[in-house]
Amino acid sequence: MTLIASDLWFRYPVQQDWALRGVDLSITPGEVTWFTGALGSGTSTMLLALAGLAPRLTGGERRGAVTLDGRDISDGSVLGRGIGYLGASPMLQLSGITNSVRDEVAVGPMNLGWPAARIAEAVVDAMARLDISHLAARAPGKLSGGETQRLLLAALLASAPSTWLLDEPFAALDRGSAARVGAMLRQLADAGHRVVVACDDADQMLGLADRILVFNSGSPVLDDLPDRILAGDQILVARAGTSDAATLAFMAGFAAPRPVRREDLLRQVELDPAATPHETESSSSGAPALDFANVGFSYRSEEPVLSDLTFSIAKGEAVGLFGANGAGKSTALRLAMALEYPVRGVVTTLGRPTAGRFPEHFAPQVGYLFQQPERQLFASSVTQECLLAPTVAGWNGDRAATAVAGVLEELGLADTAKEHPYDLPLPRRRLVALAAILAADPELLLLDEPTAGLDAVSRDLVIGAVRRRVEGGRAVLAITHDPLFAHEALDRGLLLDQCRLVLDGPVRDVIDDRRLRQPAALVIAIALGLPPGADRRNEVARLIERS
Amino acid sequence: MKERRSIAAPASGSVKALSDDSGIEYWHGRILVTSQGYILPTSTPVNHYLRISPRLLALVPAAVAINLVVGTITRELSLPVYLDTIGTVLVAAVSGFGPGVLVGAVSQLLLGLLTGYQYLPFVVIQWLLALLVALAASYHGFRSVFRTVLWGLACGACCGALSAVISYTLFGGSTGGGVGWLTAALRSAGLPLGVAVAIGSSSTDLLDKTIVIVVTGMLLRTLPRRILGRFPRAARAVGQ
Amino acid sequence: MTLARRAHPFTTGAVALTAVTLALLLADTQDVIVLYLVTVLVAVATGAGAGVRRGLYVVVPIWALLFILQVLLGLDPRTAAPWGGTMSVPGVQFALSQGSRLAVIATASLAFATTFDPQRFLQASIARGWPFGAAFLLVATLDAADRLASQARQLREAQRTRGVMVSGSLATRARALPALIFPLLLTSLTEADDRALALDTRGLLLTGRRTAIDPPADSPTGRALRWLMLVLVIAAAVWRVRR
Repeated sequence: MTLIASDLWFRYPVQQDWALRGVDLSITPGEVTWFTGALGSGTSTMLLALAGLAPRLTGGERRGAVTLDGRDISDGSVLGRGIGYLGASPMLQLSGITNSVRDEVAVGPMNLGWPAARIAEAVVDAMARLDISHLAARAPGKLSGGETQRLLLAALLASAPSTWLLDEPFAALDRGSAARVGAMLRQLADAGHRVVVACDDADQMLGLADRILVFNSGSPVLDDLPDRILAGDQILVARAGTSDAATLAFMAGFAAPRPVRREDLLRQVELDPAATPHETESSSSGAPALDFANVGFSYRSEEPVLSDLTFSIAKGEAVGLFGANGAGKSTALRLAMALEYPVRGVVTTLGRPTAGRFPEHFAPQVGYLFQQPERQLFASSVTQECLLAPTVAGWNGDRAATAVAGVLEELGLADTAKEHPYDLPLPRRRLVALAAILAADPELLLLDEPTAGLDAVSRDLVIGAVRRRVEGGRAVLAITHDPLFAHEALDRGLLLDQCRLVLDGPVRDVIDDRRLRQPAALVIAIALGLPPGADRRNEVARLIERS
Repeated sequence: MKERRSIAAPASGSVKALSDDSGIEYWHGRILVTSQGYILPTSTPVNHYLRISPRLLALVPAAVAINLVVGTITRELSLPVYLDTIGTVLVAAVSGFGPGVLVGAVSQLLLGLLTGYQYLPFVVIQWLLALLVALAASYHGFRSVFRTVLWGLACGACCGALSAVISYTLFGGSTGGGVGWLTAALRSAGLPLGVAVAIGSSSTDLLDKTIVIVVTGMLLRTLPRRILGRFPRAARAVGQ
Repeated sequence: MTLARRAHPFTTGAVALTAVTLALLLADTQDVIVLYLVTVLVAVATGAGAGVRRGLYVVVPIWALLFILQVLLGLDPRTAAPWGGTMSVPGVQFALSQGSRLAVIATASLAFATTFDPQRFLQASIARGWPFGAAFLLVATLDAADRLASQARQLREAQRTRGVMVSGSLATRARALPALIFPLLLTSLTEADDRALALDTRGLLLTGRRTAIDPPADSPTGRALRWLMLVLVIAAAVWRVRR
């Protein structure tokens, strides 16, 4: 009953470099195994190889062996061999053949040819355990990211696999759902299943994982109990990434081995979570960059999406828009860009009312970053993609080229300037989309989940770029579920609830009011008065080198 | 899937995914016919059936959807072309004739649900286009703009001629839409019906198919390496 | 739910297919016109009247063209027309027979389309042991069409916010084309592998027996109707050959 990789090498088609280099490991039933590592370290590829999907479906070349119960893993279908695999992009994993959540959950058992009664029972049970029973009749393609993630986990659960290989299963989940999924994985492991999770969410995994493998350049460099690895500076020393928790444990003066928990860290620095200070003064001046005056909006004659919304954003101010799904956040952003028009009231963007104007009229002085922005790239190189906005702005060749080069440098994309955007890994492709918007130096940035799906390094780059814009007098309005981004990039928060603005104040107040997850790392960073994002990691790295 | 492995047994210690170039195979007894036209004997007899590679099974629906959606986009931009065969052309260029035929057939079947099955005979245009584009791809037809335009004109002329024949024999020239009205205008200008249909259908198709192929060529010449690696025919099409 | 929607998808498919086949087999113009009327009656009576309306949208332009090309500008001999001028005798014949024939095909297929539920069809195919690949391809394509259409809408918005002009002169609009369609093509190609992966992880590539989930109920009446349709088609074919 073992899943074993022995001297496993794998590379993707047309790649010279091996994505996996001589991996030896065995996955034990009854344990939750946690794979982590920086972007490109090979954790996702390892899951694909363990599932037998690489190279069978990805193409490429494999050396060495992966066996499940002594048989090569490529032998037979993934689900047929009792393997539940969940990839990192939930939307791409829907079957496309069902029109209800209930049927989508039943797809696996249906294909396995179970008796109808058993399927019905498994489906009801799986939906209940993932808390999606209330969505049973909804169309799978119309769900939010978090709901889709839970749907796919329920679909796996219904097919009763004995091996679970999950890539970023917590990415799109809110705090409650993440805890629920964590508890479910724990139960599965305790019942003797193999559970492998690839992610870099230390807060989520620390209490869950029995074993951590830290990957670097295609093979595990650390393999131990999570408490031991995370409590020290081992991850940093192994150059396997920059776990925020590890960084801060180091800052707080912990020596390994010792568990890093929020409470422990706080006790160590003698602080109380409620008393963590936050001092950002918004320096508003001059005419507002964006102004909503008594704005009401509804789609046709339906219920209002927004009512009586009034706020304004000054130049040099970064504002976050918070609220539950369906609270009207996206609509507010769309109103600001003239993608929708207010039914009542006036939206004034950069001094011009949006009524009677089109999005083209505000481009590129207003930069709008959509969700999944990588899906709007069309040019044949990163530079070409970024030149669109300066061209629209009417800049001459030299000025445009300088601006683009500057933005690419700022976002760590300089070495990929000539690459095709679609050749880059997803997080960097998202950065290209952001660079394309920043290239013409917009006066107002409208950002919809700018850090979704980004690794820690990319997220720091985004935070840095936003901060520099704000200090340069640009205005930002961002929707985000990312507490780190909210804390480190934004000054002020607006909280929408049931179509109305219920809170407008420092971003910290809004976050405290919400059920946003607060990573231990963030709490400590604030408590210790550490600089934000990349600066913090650089400071720690310097300290490590000195010590 | 087992049968497939029996043809190209992996070298010991190394598993290499077979090139998924064509993606369609037809098995009968001990014979395997691939869409590249190769006929290979197999070690184990199998019942005859059509097997489609998973990647093609994922790509075909998208390509058909592209045909439909791009047709809508050109209509919204009020451009004088349809480009509603671009999915077929793209798949024929990157995956070969067989996949192109499949995309064409499914497209026409689906279109029938929207506009009725009286236009089903026009599926042969899609097939001819798939054949010519697959040929163009294997002769580096997308290497330069010049070559692409030439192949585009050739494809356009062939498709135009075929569509004129279908339109004349089955519809008497009365195929709804722009082509029909162009034909009517030419006929009222005094041209014989056959000539009016020939000019109406072939000029429209000549322009449309040429532009489809030129636009596809623009994309193919700048494809990311990752896609070129997964679709070796695309690399061949642009002469790499 | 109307009768046509409640019926087993194979039954509605058989009825529509029979109408289309008969339209192609019948030779006399009157017969085809009668067939069109019967098709309309059946569609309306079973609750698929929307198909008749959509059929008219499709065939009215064709009728207009047939009238212009065949009736007004058709071949000699000509005869006096009710509206004063002359009209082509063989043209009238051709326009009537071809016009009603196309109308039958369009109406039958669109009436079928209004009742067609891809998921029910898929489950019916599984229940009857039809090839899963073919049914999957059709259903997955319909789903992809929906998905891509909404992707195209979002893309249009995204590119407009980046300053891509979607209206203006022909050249301006043509220049917008790459920004509006290349991302669709590129994402489809790059995502093909991810989706292929999902086909395996969701068990859609398994080759064994599948279980149908709530397959549509088939009735003895439906089965009898399908046999009747087959007999009708064979009879029409025999009649056509013997003539």
